[in-house]
Amino acid sequence: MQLAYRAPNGPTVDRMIDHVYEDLACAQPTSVSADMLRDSLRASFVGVQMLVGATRDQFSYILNAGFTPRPRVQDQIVTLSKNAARGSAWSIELPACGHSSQSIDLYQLLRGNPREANLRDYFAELGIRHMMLATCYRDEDWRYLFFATRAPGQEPFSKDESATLAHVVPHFRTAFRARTRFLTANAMNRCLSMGLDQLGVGVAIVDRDGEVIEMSMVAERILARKDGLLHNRRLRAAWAGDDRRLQDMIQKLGGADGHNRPRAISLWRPSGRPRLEILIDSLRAGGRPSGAGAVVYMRDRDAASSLAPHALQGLFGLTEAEAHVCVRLAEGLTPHMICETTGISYNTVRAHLRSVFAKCEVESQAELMRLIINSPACIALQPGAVAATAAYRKARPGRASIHSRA
Amino acid sequence: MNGRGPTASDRFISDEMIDSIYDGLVAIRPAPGTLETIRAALRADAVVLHFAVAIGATASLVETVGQEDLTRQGNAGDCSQLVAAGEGWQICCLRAPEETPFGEEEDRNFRELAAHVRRAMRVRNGLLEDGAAVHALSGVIDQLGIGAMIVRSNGRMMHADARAEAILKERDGLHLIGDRLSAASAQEGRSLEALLRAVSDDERPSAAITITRPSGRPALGLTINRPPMADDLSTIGLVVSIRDPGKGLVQSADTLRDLYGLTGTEAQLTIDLVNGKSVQETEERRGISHNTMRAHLRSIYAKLGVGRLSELIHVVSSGTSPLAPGRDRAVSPPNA
Repeated sequence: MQLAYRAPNGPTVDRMIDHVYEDLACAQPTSVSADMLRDSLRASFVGVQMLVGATRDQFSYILNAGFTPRPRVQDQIVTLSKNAARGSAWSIELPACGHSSQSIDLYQLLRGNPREANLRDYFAELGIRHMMLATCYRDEDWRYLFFATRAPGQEPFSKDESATLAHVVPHFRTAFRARTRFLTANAMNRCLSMGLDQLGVGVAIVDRDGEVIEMSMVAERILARKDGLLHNRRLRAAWAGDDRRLQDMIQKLGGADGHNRPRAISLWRPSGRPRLEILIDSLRAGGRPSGAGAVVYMRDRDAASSLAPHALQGLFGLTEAEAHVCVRLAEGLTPHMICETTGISYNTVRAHLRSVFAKCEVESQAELMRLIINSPACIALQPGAVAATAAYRKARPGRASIHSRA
Repeated sequence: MNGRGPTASDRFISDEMIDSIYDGLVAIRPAPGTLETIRAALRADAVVLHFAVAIGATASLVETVGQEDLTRQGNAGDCSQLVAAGEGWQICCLRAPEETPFGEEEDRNFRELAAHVRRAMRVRNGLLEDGAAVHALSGVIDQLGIGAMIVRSNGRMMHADARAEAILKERDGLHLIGDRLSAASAQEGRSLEALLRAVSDDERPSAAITITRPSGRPALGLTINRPPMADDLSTIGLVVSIRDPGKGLVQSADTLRDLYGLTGTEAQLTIDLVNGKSVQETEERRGISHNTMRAHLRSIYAKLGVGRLSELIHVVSSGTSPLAPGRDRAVSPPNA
């Protein structure tokens, strides 16, 4: 059932507003919409300046429609508007929030200015004579100043065009806000999924019939081993006894009466490696089981440790060698095993450990383990992790603009 | 080109409402506050939003505000309804049978609102496209006691998740001054600033720092990472992960029983040991003799196939049991 959207404002303006929102996740969010705005206003260019606080922290953002970014033009226009505040001789009166000004003739504005001829030439060269401004506020101290300009040979902007600008401007503002949110949420999600990948926790979401909807990278990796847990549309355990319990849990927690507590199961693996631990919970919305499916968490102990030694160094002031001993310890090796695998002598390992104990203020290996496991070191990126993420990105193309999929 | 720009007064949808739609719905879990705004604006008795778990998924989650009983099966049929839907979402406004049904004007206003909902949900699809199972992740990360913040290189906080916000609110070691992240100790504050700048300037891939707490509780650990972004998006800030070592403990005895076949007592003892109690402290706390404790430990070690306490801690904490919430479900809602 697709919604028929009735345009309150004519199809062109409406399509433009669609683009304002739909392109906000693109690298150049305003490239299409600003072009459309420029065309519909028959302007030589349109732009926006963001003013933060008492204009001290200002930065500009050029919509860049038919115009190579030229910071000086921006500066000039802002100077004009700043002078408005100071009541200077050549000032532009800024329109009230949410409105736009009538067409302003720069030449007229410059009349009587001691540098009139110079400034006239300067603006003429840039192709600016007529100008329209619109302002709106984002928060108390964020102000957007939009402008559209026309060249000396052209007509001034009409009243209708001024109204169109005033109508579109708030949407740009909302889209900029949403873009900030989008980028933040995007970074947050990446960071969360990275965190779980780092911790070796795989996540699979199954619907109420047990079919897999989504899988995280680590879950894919665990399933690719086909060792204990298998996947063909549904999740299956390798051993029939395990599988009966697994299916039962998924059905109970994924269904409409998903008021059961989360259930755990460890799966036997044909390779003889330690059992694969699984935790199953209902898919929740707002803290309540939704009855729409279940979440299956899996953790492969061998793949779980990805402690970053440099993070341990930063957190506890350890030396590199000490940090490496800690990482091995957290992987479950005993000091003797550390000697064997790394080739350093037992006495050196013990000396490192003594020093680590002192620095971390712990008295036993068990205490040290707890400290490390509960530290954020396990979610610090390894130097190689960025490259791995890049590969992941390539493997899943199609994060293009949103409207391309529509 | 028709230029009839409506002024603010003749528009049904205020700027605030548009903001609320894009702020609230462009999230993994759409905010109930936005639905409440829509409900109030249309004077509806209930608003129901179905939203997809993932792109192309048949499963959807539901968020409801207002009178929930109206939305139950069988009841909705008698209500006056306004419905709009799109790719992966459906919104439905309901008015109770005894009220005046929705009129033409409300229908028009609803269509206008729905156009914004449609755009917001399409932006949300962009969000979902990225992360596998993202909304399930945030709860588990929270369970592990890990909070995340997005911070600019100058220390300006852009965003904090529920766990990070809770830690900051305690004002114990780390807090916000205005919107800047700062540490209680001036020296640690300076180190934090320097590290933020170093990671931001690409001098190092990531950094970690310990922030001591005036109250004497175990120090907070922070790691700073530059998030890998999609090529076509500019970087918004650094990801600062924070971990409260007092949280994120193994809580669920049920899970330990499921996983390792422990008895109830054994599971309780294991929780104590893994969460930082010594053997002696555990004996005292549970009121059992040293010999009984030894017998329990032998049994626990045998069932888990380990030989030492540190191995026990490793096995339990690198499994799935830390991901399970305790019985009381004292978990903040994910992505609040």
